[in-house]
Amino acid sequence: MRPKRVFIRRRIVQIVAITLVAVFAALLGLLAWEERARRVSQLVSGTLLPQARAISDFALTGDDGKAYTRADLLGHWTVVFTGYTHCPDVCPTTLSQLKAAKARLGAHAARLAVLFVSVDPERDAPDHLARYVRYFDKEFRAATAPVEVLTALGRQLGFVFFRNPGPEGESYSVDHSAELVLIDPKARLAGYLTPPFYAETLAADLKTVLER
Amino acid sequence: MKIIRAFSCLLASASIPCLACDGLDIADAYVMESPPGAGVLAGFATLRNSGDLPITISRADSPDFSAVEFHALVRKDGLIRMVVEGSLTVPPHGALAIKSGERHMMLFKPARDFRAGDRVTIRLFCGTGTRELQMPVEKNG
Ligand SMILES: [Cu+2]
Repeated sequence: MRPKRVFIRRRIVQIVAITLVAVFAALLGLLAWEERARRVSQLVSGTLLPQARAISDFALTGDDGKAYTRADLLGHWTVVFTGYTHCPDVCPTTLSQLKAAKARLGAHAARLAVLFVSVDPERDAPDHLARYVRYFDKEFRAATAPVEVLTALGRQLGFVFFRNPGPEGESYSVDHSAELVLIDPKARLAGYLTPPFYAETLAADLKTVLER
Repeated sequence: MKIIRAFSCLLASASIPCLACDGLDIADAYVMESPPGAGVLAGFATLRNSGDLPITISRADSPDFSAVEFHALVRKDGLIRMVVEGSLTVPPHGALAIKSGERHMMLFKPARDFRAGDRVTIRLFCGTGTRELQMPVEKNG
């Protein structure tokens, strides 16, 4: 009789131990899931990095012909959209939506800069870029740079672009990232807004970001 | 004329769709107003085919632009790409939407800056026939 009792007791301890481990694991999983849900749910259409990432200095040419550097990002939030002016649908539509979203931000809008980075320096000269972005909003800014500089900045900010020769060669297009890059007032990469964009959700997400 | 076209459609074998603009209905056509100096504009429209055979639009041109192409937007690996579509086919008793975010008529080198309220002319070639479109320029949003 004795050995059997010991066996049963051992079995109970085993079951209890397994149950405890299972409950503990489930709790951990739940916590991780909640943490993830909390982070993702911060934005309707985008993601904020758990830790903002420092951006090292760079030099683009602004639409006024002067240098546009990391220092120009300091002191306000910046939303960066990469595109080019020979992009007749996505680029004007996104810039129009940014204008509409900005209009919904009220006083918050003053702390947000919109920067259009042209990934087509060959066709998008600074003065042309100035006319282009100002059509959407007097306060929008644009900048561009030689392809190598843009590629390096893209590596930092997480955007890519490829020149895509057209059938005639002359009328090439440029494949480009669709996300909007969010940069915080300390010039750090804070996150991304992902398409499709709608003025309402864009405004809601920008508001979330500005109120952080 | 109509009889001749109908006859030529009857002659077409099943594998070669009847190419004519008959049965083609175009609605909601417009060109998005773009910033002054824009090198390209985008045109949109809904094409409907009330006929029993597919309608293929092989190309387009315009007196207001140096060239007109059909472009589709393809999203892949976080990138947006404009892809040239050689022709557009509107299925019988169906529709094809050339709409923002999906497709556009790529209008190269406008003859001048077009503003909201202006009209541009686009000609669609459907094999044997052509269809001329007057598209109003409209502000986005
Ligand atoms: Cu296009």
